[in-house]
Amino acid sequence: MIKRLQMKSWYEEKGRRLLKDVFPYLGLIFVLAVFSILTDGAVLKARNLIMIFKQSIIVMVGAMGSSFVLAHGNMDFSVGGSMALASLAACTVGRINPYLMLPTCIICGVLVSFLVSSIHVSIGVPAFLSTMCVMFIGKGIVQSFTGSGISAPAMYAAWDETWVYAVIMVVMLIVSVALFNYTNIGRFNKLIGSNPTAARLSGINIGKYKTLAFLLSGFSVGIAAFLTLLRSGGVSGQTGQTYEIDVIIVLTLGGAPISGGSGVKMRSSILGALTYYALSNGLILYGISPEVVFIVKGALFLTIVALTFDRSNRI
Amino acid sequence: MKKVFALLLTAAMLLTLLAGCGSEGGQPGDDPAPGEEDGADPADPDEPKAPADSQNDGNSQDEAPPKYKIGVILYSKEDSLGARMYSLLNDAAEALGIELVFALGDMDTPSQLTSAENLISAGCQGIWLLPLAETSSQKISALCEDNGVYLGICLRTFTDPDINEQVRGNPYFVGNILGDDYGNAKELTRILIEDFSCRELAACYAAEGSSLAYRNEGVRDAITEYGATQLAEATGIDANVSAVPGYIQNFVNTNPTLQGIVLVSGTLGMGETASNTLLTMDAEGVKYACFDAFDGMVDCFNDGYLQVVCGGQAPACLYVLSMIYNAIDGHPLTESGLELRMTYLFVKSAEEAEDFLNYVENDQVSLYTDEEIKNMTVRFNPDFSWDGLQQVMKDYTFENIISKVKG
Repeated sequence: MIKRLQMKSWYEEKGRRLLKDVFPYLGLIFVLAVFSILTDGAVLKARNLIMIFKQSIIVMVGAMGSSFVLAHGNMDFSVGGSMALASLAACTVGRINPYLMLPTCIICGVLVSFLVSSIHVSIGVPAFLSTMCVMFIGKGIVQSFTGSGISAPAMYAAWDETWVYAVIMVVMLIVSVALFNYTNIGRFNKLIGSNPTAARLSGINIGKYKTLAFLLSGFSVGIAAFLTLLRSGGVSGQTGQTYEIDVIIVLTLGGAPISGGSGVKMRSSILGALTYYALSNGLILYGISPEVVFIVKGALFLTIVALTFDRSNRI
Repeated sequence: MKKVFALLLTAAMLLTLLAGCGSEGGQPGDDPAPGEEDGADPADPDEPKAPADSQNDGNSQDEAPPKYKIGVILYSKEDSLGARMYSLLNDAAEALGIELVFALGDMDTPSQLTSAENLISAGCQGIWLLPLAETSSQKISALCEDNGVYLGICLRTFTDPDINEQVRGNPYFVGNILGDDYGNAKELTRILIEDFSCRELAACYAAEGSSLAYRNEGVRDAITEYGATQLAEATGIDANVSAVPGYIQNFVNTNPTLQGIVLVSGTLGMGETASNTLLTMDAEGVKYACFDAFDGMVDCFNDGYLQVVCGGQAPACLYVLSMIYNAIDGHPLTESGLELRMTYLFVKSAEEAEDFLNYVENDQVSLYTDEEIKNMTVRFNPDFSWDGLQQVMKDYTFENIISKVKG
């Protein structure tokens, strides 16, 4: 009798995990299916799907880095400001030597995240506060110095091709998955998010691994800033305006638990970003009335989050 | 089980909501378009049509007008300018029998570019754009050119020579219309100097290099040209609204002979803030002029400090729509996309301010009748031309608008 109950419980747990794994995919399929029906298949045309993929990559890359920070239970609100600063620095340096644009983006992204993590880890300021302050500072600096905008070097116009984005995304994904699933950086950050006390008692240097998570987030923001410059052709006062919100929405839509821990998966970045941009694309293709677009968007988000949200760490 | 049922119910309700709120114009690519008869799909980016390759003879008033589909990329419809443009564009779409697909709320270049891609994918034959940065114009222009979609730009120009060259070289670029910032700033300052006898002035300028910087030049030139003196200045009010009270207090406290202040922007509460600061300081004899009409301007005029406001740029959206419509319809108003600059309306009293808010800025009031909107197109008015559009813009004066709308 007890064995049978144990078996039933085991099957229930396994079923729950399977559903949890499957639901983020269902969210994306749900959006594509709904708009495919409503637009007579226009959403599913190959060209349109490639377009959605390209549109989603900038947020996808940022979300990959933010997953490390989310894993230990923090939100990185600095990504928008950091992206703006990195873009400004890269465009400025790019006028001297165009080939320094990518390294400048990465160095700037990493430096900003080092500043954020130092304020959080060394001084003990909560991460959401330190990241938010840096976000405001970054955006403020860029708004003050860009005027009507600074163009990226002309040679990069030729790089604005889907395959360039795809290659960068795939490399980022491979590196992120490897670090997240097969190294101490990913494992320990997830453990810190799941149970910080247990992590501390087991001898993990929490400050060190949180800092590494922020640095990886900064690195990915640097890459995302470079992609933004390719896509937008330059930096302006509006660069990175809603980027942190987009990243958070994407991770949530992809099924990542806001509280962090072992429920955070790298696939959330991919699935969430595709779902988010497929939804925006579908709403425009269907020609939804602008009066209700935000209501529909919000209601659809709510439905998808209800389907995909990982409740394993809820309070 | 209950949760699953609730979710299914939510999904069903959403589907119903979507079905009820969708476009009335059918699915992407369904709409008739010039050139479609010969097999070219206007929405197919792989087959860009030649610009204006399907002219009609302009004498087709009796035929049902084609239901063209035009995408509108607008930052918001929540502030006064966005809301007014939104209502004017919708009125015009109804008059012309076209479908507008709105992409609202994009706040940076990648978002605007994403919306443009989605709108083109949705089968739009033209894009109406209010770019948030010059790079938006550059990227969306290239996208439109690649896809054979017409582009019209509202309230922006291109200060970067490379972007200017690239956008104007796009055969699908129909033109851009913006306020004559320099001329309007000069006139605003002239009115304050000559009509209100303010010869000792201070000015709050926009950050140099910003899109409002042309206004700075207009104010400076007017001060020199009309024999006034600038006693003090502050820069960057467009980026730091909260600094305005401090600037005004400094102007008044350190310059006892100060007679007038010019603000190159009055949005985001700057207009009201200036009036309240002067009222609190009891700054007798100091008057001010500012750009951009604002909701509280009637009270500000009554307080006695505000003397002149210029605003009313929303109709620029209609002139851009007219250029796009004519191009799609096979009657581009110019061979290459040119720029037109419109004069704003100048409001000089509380009574005029009330009329302005009630008629010019009121979403419920149409500034142009359906007939007048139709007359801005060659399809309905074969004599309409680039000169005709310029005449319509010249006729946009405060007196004309108020007498027409009130009458």
